[in-house]
Amino acid sequence: MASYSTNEFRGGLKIMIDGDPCSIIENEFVKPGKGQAFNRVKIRNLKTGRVLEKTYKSGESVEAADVVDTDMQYLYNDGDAWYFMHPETFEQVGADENAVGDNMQWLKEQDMCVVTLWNDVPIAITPPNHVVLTITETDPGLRGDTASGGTKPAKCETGAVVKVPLFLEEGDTIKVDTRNGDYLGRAKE
Amino acid sequence: MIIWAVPKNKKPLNSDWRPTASLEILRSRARLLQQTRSFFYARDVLEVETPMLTATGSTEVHLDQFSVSSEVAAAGYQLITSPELAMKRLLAAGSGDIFQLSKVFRAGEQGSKHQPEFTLLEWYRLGFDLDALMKEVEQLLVELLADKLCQPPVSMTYAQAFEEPTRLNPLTATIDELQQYFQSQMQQQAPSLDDRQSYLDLIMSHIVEPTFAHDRLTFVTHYPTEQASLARVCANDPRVAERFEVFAGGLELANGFHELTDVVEQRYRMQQENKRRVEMGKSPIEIDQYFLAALEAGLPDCSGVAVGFDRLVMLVTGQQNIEDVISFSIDNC
Repeated sequence: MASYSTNEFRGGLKIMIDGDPCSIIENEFVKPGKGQAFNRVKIRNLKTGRVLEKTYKSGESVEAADVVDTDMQYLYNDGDAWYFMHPETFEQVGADENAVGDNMQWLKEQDMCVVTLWNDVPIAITPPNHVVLTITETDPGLRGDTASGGTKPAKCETGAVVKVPLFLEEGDTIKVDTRNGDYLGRAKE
Repeated sequence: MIIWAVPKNKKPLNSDWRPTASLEILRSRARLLQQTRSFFYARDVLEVETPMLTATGSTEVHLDQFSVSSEVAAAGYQLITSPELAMKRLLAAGSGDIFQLSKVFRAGEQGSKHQPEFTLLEWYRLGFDLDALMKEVEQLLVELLADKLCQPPVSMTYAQAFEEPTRLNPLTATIDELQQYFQSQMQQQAPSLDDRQSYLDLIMSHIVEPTFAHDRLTFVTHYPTEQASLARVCANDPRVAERFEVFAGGLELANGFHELTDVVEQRYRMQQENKRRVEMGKSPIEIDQYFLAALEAGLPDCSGVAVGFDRLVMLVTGQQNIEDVISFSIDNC
């Protein structure tokens, strides 16, 4: 089983903690001059997304987590799982709701996403930072109102609801930032 | 494209050839070196230089030394983790008060406040008790840190410092109590450690030291005897030793002893340390017989202290990372 010593700890390293794969966010070396040395780390549990702190005795070995981020293309959802395909090997994996989480609203067929695989099983999905979506439902547009600064909710093809300017209509395509859900502008076809 | 010729197992962590400190900070550092020397020259303390190579080394349980070998040298050497033993040989030889600005080496110590190679300011004063030496440490630090310390220093015993936030007595608390306290405060299980002492270190470093005020020096005195190191045990309370440390905020700056002069006790402690090392899976270190012979010949009554010089530079220049106050770090040396 692969393992890391605490002196290999650095940001981004993937380790196992209490049976869950985690990613190190911060690693601090703490040592009283004549005393025991510690590595105090801040970690993100990759399954739950929770951030926690943990202290190791320096020199201790910690099991490595077999976690790989892979670029894959989103194919479809069959009601139970969201399927992604490796663009070169055409290998497909199905991610469950726990792995996809809130990001399901940004998944558009054929978009390239980052699939985080733990022991070859998807545990997290990261959609592209920007996606282009078609509005499927919104109040009728106020034609010509490009200056008032008002917004209205618009439901998109993937189910996401985005605040958009008043002049947009059903069928329009827009660009959205998936990290905060912000409307970025009209997409040029 | 640049191809780095990197020995196996060694990653180029920093591929930049340039210094890790700015030239402005290196100038501040030079000024501090000069001020430090002036402080001691004005007090008639002799500047000395002792070797960085040693045939033996330090038996300290929590210090790991670098080994040095060469294709042409017959013997192997170690890099010193502290100039203490050699400086005490000078004292035993009649040097009188001495100080040194020395590079020291501690394997595996790297972080925002640690580098495996760093600079220690170490000095010894004959006939000084701990109070007199702490006074002098204060004078030096006030001179060097001037405007960084708005408040006069505070002094407390290790037990007082420990009890204040934890309500636990460090001299009597059991491993169980220490583990439980850590768990309740930090919302995580305590790591599995070798001895009670290490659990005290855990709580001191994670919970107690971060409570020390940033705008003043904190002197912590009367360390538990288990942490006496090379200090005398207090005559009136054998549970504690004549050892102090100095902090600025949670940053440990200095460690001082009323020096142990009893050769029998010293030999015993070194043997015990080696025993602990073996129990912890570390190699025992050959005991420095020159040092013990010097004690045998007679170390004058004295107190001594070591100050992390790089950390002083960090405080003076307002840097958070030790790499920013040294010319090159272990990652691009």
